[in-house]
Amino acid sequence: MLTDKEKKVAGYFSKNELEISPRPFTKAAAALLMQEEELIAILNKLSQKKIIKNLRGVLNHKRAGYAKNALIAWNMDGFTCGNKDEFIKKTFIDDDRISHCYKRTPHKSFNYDTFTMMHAKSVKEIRNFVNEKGAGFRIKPAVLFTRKELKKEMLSLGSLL
Amino acid sequence: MSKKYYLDDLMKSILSKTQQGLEISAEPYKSLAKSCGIEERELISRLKWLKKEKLLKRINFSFNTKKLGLVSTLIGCQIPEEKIKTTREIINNRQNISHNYLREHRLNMWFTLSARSKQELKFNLDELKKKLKPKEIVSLPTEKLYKLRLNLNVN
Repeated sequence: MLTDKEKKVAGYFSKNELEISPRPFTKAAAALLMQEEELIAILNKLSQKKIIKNLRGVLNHKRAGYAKNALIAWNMDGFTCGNKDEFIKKTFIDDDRISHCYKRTPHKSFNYDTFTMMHAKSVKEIRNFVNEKGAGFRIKPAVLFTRKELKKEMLSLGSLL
Repeated sequence: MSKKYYLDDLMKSILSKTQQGLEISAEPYKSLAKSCGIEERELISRLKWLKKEKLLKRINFSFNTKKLGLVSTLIGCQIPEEKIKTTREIINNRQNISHNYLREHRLNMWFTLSARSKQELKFNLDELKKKLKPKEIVSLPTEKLYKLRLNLNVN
């Protein structure tokens, strides 16, 4: 699906952030043994193919005052109060405090099928959210507060392409 | 521990616009600067400051792993306190694991595992199970991504 050059470029930028300098692609192009123009053309192609989702700044949520976060697991299968898709859109997708939302295959000893990461200013804010939004569920959502971040990186694609 | 920052409106606007996205071109900061109404030089020096102060983590491309044919799973496991350090080392050394967190739950360690196919994912998971010998482990394969975007209000 990807050409060798595209793989090299994707592999490189999955491991390297964008430099903050007037010509941030020159070093990358040199490392990839190509011209800057060619590199940018490949990146644009990957973007057109929707393999690159975006190029953007990632803020530090702790520094931005969002000190608390939690993984919240929901059993949507047991949601009894209305349309599930509408609930997901309104409660998770439209709420900026929710950064991740995935549908997952549940496990018998952890019977949840929808997983969200929530960033908030306090434990109470997260608890209130879960109490309020979790009211219509047969199985109470599980709240797993973050104790410590042990690893958080961009997924290195080099070995996976 | 965490410093309080009072950012001027321009700083806030820079953070917000950088978070929204940059164009892919030879000089992406030039057009970003224009949309912030400042010179590129000033934008770059401000971005460097934001990065130094760790308000801006980084600027990077994000990839659609599904389009790349990758599969992934979220794994939760129960690791006794005394084994957390060694387990962390095993996990953090793996390139196919990008995130690993300690959480307040019976299942106290959570990480994501990616692979090229379901078979490879299962193989890697089995191998990890053998190596980590957790008291309990659950694998929750990704079926669908509804949302992946951290948009922080900088005000």
